Amino acid sequence: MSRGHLRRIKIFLLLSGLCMCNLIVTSCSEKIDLYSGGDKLTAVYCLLNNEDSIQYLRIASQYTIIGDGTVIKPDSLDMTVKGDFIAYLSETTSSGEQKSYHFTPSYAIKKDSGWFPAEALQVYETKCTIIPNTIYALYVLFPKEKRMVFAKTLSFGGGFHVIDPIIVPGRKINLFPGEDFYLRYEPLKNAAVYEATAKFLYDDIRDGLAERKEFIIALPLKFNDQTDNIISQRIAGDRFLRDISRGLKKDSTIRRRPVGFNFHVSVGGQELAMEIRNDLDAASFSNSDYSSFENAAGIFSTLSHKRIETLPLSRFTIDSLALSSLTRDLGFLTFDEINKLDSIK
Amino acid sequence: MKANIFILIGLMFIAFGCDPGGIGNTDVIIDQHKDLGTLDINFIYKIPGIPADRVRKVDLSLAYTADSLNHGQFFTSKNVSDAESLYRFYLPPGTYYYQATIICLCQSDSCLWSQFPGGQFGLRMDGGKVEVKKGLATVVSTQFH
Repeated sequence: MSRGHLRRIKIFLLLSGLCMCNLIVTSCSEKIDLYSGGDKLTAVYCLLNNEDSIQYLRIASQYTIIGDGTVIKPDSLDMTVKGDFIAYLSETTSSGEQKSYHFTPSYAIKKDSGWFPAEALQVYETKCTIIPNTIYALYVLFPKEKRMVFAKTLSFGGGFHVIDPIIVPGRKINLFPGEDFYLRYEPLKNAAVYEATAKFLYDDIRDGLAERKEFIIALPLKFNDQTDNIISQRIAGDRFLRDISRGLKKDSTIRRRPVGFNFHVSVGGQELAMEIRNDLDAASFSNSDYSSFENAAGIFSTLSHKRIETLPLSRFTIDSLALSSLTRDLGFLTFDEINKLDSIK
Repeated sequence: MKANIFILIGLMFIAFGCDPGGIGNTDVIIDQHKDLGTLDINFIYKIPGIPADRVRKVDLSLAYTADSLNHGQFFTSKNVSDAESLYRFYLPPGTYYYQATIICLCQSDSCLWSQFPGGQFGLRMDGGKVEVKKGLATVVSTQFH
C-alpha cells in the first residue's frame, strides 16, 4: 500500500468520524422539527377579551398564493385544518394555581362569506372569564402529527378607564375653529397599543325621511412607550370641519342634521403591539412576519374595547357645520332650524 | 448645496405650514393673539357631603352681556373635563360674563342637601363679570359654596 493511499484512507476515516459525531449530537437533541419548509403553516388567532365570559379561537391552514402572481380564490378544503386537534387555554394565577379551559366548536359568530369561504372559518369557544394580571397559555395539540402549537400572554392589569369623553347629562361636545376636543384615558397595565376612532353621526334628510350616516375620524395609534399618567389624543376643531368638507358630498336634494359622536377605543396587549409595529415597519424597510407562535402563524394576545356612544353636539358645533365657509354648502341645519323641525314633529 | 437648503426650507413649509391639527407653531399663535387678552378660568369645586366622582362639570360658556347670560345666549363654550381645571380663552379686550355649571349624580337626598335644586341631576351654576385687557391675562376661579 502506497503512502498516498494510506493518507486518503486516513482522511476518509476522519471525515466519517466527524459525520458520526454530528449524527450522534443531532440525534440526541430533544427538539422536534415542528415545521419544515414545504409544510403548510397553521394560522391561529386568539385575542382574550377581559370584558367577555367567552373566549374565541380561530384556526385555519395558511392560504398560499401561487408564485406566478395569479391570485386564486382559496377553497374551503385548502384552508381547513384537517384531522383532530385539541385546543385549550391554561390559566396560571399569581399564586401558581393552574386551570384549563377546553375549546369547543362555536356557532355563535355569524360567518360572512366573501373572498374567503365561510365554511373554512373554524371558530372555537371556551367559557373563561379573564382574571387581571394573569398568565394565559394557548395550546393546540395535533396528536396524529405529534405537533403542538403554543404561545402565552399576560392579561391586562384591570379595567380600561376612559376619562374623556364620559356621558354626563347636559355635557356637549364643542368642535369648531379654536376649540379642540381631547380624548383622554389612563394607560392600562400590560397594555401596549391603543387605537381610537370617533364617529360623527348625522342624518341625511331626503323627502322628509331621515337616514342615519356616520363619518369616521381615525386617530393615530398610540404605543405605550411613554410613562404618561394620562394618554390624550386631540381632535382639532379646524381639522374636523376640513375633514367633513372633504369627506361629504354636496347634494342639493338633502338636508343634514348633526346628531353627535360615538367613540371607540381598543386596547391591545404586548404581542398585538409587536404585530402592528411589525406591519408598520414592513411597509418601510422590513418584510419579516411576526407571530406569537414559533411553529404557526397568527396571534395570541389580549384585546379590550370601550365604547362611549351618542354624545350630543353643542349649539356652536352645529352652527359651525351649517355656517362655516368650509361646510356651508353641505346642507347642514342650524341649531334653530333643528329646533323648528323638532317642534313640527 | 444651495439648492438642497432651499428644498429643505420648502419641505419644512409643507410639513408645518398647512396643518392646523399638526404640531403648532408658537410664533404664529402669539402673532394671532397679539391684539387679544387672555381669560383663564380656574373651574374648581368642592361640594361637602358628596363624593368627588358624583359631581361633574357640565359646561363653561361666555356671554357678551348679563342679559344674554341670563337667557343662555352664549357666544362660545369650552369642552370641560373632570381631569382639567384651567380653561383659557383668547378674547378681544372688553367685558365678558362667564357661566360654569356642575351637576350632581348622587341618588337619594345627598344632592338636595348640597343645594342642587331637584336633587339628582340638579345643576348648580357659578358666574361672574370679567374684564379682559389687551396683552394681559385675567384669572378667575369659580366659587361653588
